[in-house]
Amino acid sequence: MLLEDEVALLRKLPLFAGVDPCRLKVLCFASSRESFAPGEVLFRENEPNSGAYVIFSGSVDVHKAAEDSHQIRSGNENAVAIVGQSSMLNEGPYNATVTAVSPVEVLLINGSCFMQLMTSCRKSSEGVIRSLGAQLADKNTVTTPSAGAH
Amino acid sequence: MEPNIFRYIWMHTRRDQIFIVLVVMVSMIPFYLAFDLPKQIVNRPLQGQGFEQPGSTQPFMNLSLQLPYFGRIELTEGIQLERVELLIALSLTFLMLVIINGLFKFYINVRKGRLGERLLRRIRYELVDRILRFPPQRFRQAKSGEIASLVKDEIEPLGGFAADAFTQPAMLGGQAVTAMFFIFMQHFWLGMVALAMAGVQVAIIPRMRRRLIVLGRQRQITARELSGRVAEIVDGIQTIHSNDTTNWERADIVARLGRIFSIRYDIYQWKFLVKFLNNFIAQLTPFLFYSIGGYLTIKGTLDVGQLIAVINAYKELPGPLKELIDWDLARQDMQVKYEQVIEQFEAEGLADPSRQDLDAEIPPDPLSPLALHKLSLRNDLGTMLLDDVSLEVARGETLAVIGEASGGAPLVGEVFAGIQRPSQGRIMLGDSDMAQLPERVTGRIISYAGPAIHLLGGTVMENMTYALNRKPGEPPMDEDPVLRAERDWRWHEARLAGNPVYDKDADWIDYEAIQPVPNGDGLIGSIFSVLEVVGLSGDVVTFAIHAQVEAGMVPEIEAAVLDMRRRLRDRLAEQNLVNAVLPFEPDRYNSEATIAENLLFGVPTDADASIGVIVADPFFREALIELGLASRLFDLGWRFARVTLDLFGSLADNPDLLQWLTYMTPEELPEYEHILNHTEPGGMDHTTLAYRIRLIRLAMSYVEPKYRFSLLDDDLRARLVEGRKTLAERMPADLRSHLQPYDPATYLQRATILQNILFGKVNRRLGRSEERIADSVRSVLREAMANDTVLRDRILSLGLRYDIGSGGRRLTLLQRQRLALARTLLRRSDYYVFNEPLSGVDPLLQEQMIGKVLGFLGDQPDPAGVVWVLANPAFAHHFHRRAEFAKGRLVQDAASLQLLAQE
Repeated sequence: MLLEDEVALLRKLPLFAGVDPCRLKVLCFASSRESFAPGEVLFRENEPNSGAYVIFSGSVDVHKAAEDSHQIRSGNENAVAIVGQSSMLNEGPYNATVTAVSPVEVLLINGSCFMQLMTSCRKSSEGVIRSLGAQLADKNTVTTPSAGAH
Repeated sequence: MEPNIFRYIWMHTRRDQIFIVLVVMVSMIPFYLAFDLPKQIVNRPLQGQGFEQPGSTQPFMNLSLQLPYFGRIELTEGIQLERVELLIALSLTFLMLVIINGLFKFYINVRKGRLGERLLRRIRYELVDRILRFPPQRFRQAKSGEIASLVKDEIEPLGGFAADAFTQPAMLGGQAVTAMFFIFMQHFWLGMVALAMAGVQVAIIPRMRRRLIVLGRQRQITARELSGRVAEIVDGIQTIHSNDTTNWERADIVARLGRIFSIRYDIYQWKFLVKFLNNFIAQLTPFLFYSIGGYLTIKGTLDVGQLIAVINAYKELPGPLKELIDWDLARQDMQVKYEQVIEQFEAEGLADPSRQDLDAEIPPDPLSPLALHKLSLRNDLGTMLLDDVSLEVARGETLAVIGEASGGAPLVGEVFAGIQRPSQGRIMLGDSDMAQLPERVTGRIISYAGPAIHLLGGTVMENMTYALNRKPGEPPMDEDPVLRAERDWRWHEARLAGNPVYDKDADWIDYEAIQPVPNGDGLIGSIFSVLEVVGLSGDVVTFAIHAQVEAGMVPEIEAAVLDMRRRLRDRLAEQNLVNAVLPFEPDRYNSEATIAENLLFGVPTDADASIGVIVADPFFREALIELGLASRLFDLGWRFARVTLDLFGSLADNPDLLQWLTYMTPEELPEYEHILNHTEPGGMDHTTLAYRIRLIRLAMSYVEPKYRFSLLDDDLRARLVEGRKTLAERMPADLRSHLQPYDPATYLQRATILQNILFGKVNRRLGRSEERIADSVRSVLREAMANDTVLRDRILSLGLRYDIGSGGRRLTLLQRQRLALARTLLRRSDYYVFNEPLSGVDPLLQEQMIGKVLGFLGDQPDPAGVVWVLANPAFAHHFHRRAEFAKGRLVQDAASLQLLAQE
């Protein structure tokens, strides 16, 4: 898959929808494409975060030990999913364990590049804040309240 | 130390000084003769005195002395010479005297220089020796940068001055007196003129210079403070950055530099004013000579030869005079400097040298217990920090010291280790007072690890064995007479400068003190055990596998590494990770490698230069064209540059985001913009060579999965693999030496051990591949090392050679703490004092490490006593006893709760 296609898919996510397309491309460029086989772990709870994962294809299981909850997230060409978003935003450790349940194609978003993008481009950061605000309003999709404060 | 600089110099250099002064006095004879000659040359052969009749002769070498009271003394009669012969003979004599005078000067200067350097060496050693003997409290007010500057810079002029202290006045005074005497011999009144002017010079100039000394002193103090501040900045750089006080530091430095500047400028002005006056007075005298002397010559009371000789002699007078004045100033200046320096090194309670004596006797019997006896400790303000503490620990016993940090617990650790001296009471080792025991004994009996970690710049190995460096072994017996002579000379000089003759090149390691006792595998085996205990062995192995092995050592590990290369492949296959490493295969394009790596397919012998040499070679260029690769790569480079410019071209003002552009510098962006405007894809043949090279070189760095610009297709990949083969076949021999081709069955000389084991590129497309591969590599290594202790030791010694940087800055805090702990454990002693050596470590890990360390020490034959100051009382159950402190008092001394419960 091409960088161009990845950018197009990223734009489908509310978090990145408002980001300046030019800069989004740089973010994409600085991020890395990875794949996981079923059963492989993307990240574990409490691990220091290396960025959010955007799922282009396949399904993952999101497990939180404290609530003992399982949630399946999937991505395909029409709708991509994102995991680890709040950890990337608050630069804390991951708050869930995410395991691939089918072959998964992901883009590991470069967290520090994302932050640089936010500080350097007002237009983009406004877009992100707006999207986070919308997520806050719709409480079901907000995983960490603090994520909105960032 | 001797407060008077002259006495100090005299004390240590007496013999040399006397000898040099004697030589100086002898050198005065040719010096005087050289004055007399010009007069003779002018008067006799030139003006023709005594050659009034043709054919008349004059005596040459007719030496006679005209002395007051003695009259004329005839030394030799000389030989009779004609006018021209005499001229030549006298001129040659003059030349000879010039040479003799020069040689005298040379000899005297060398002797003086050696004397000065020896004295400098002596005093520097004495100063550092004093630092090593300073009482602990002396270091509270000391800035390391300032002390270092005292030893290094401020004392340095002393060497030069010591050489001149006695000889300079002797020589210059001698010269001045000789010159003056000579002038008087020629003409009394001209002598009086010269004397009067010299008097003025000697009287006025030193007065003016006095202000220079005051300024010089200020300059010295401000410069020393500057050096202290710079050292503080370097040491505290992290604090400065985290507090954003760089600009405050700048302001501080600017203020200091400003002060130093104004002082120096002042000095400068004064210095040249004084110089002007000095020169003026010196030049005034010849004016008087010319006018008065000339008048006298015209009148006939003085002959021309005499006048020239007087003027000549006078030329020699201001020099010595000026230097004498300089010397006097240097004397005052040095006295002040010297006093200031030694003042800094005078401290009360300086340790007696015998306490650190290399040959101090070690008591044969173990001294037990280690006890604090009615001990109190006060700080500088008199506040009670520890109050009437009595506490002991026996050998084999473990004692936990707990309580809040402000309650005195950490101080107990320091007192036990002898770092703090008690205000009252005593620290006892068996029946002996620790203050009376030499450091050699206490250092051997007690080992200490505290929260402040002091690591030396150097390798891990040097730091590990640091605590074992206690006494030099026999110096290596050099069979080479040259080396031996050189060493003897070194020792001879050391003795002459009052330095102890300790040989740094000898083996200082005290092998009997190594813990655990080596069982056949030597020091390295013991180091490995200790590293395992503190959990540092993995890190050391990691250092090793990231290192390149020297060519000479390769054969020793080659087979094992190649074996690990195979095992890793098997291991990865077992774990379904076979794709995690893309191996270098001759017939396949390695998608994670750059185009250049795929084409050249080998390890450059010189990482920085080799690729450049090959790519720049005409062979390479021609081969690319012939293979049809050049135009394809040109197009790829063009597109690569185009996409890059689209991505980053608009970010010129954004350095943060530009850091993700790795294959180009931001400055190159406009250059490529320019190139693209003058070229087009498919148009390689119509462009200049320079543009072609730029774009093809850019293409060389392309990696498809990394950049994902879809610039590589299967056809080009296949062509590149073909090209790789053709290049390998045809490459000229001189280029071949720049590259070691990838071959699965050979060791890559210029690659790290890790690269040799991997023998391929990490597949970034697989999630968390680096981590998973690292795990596999580690397990393969661990197995190999467990089965093969020779390999283990070689890998370890490689890792131990890792340079930890100044103060261990290349290590993480945890690694530094572990290393400091390991260093303590590697040395056997009767007592171990641990003073929160793991502060800040994760509690879980800390408890685990405490357990391991106690287990390790308990397993040794005849276990030592352990005092461990714990920040966290929860770990106290690992110890036999616990002592709790509050407000400087011992509030509880009891067997550990767990033990109590068991009983």
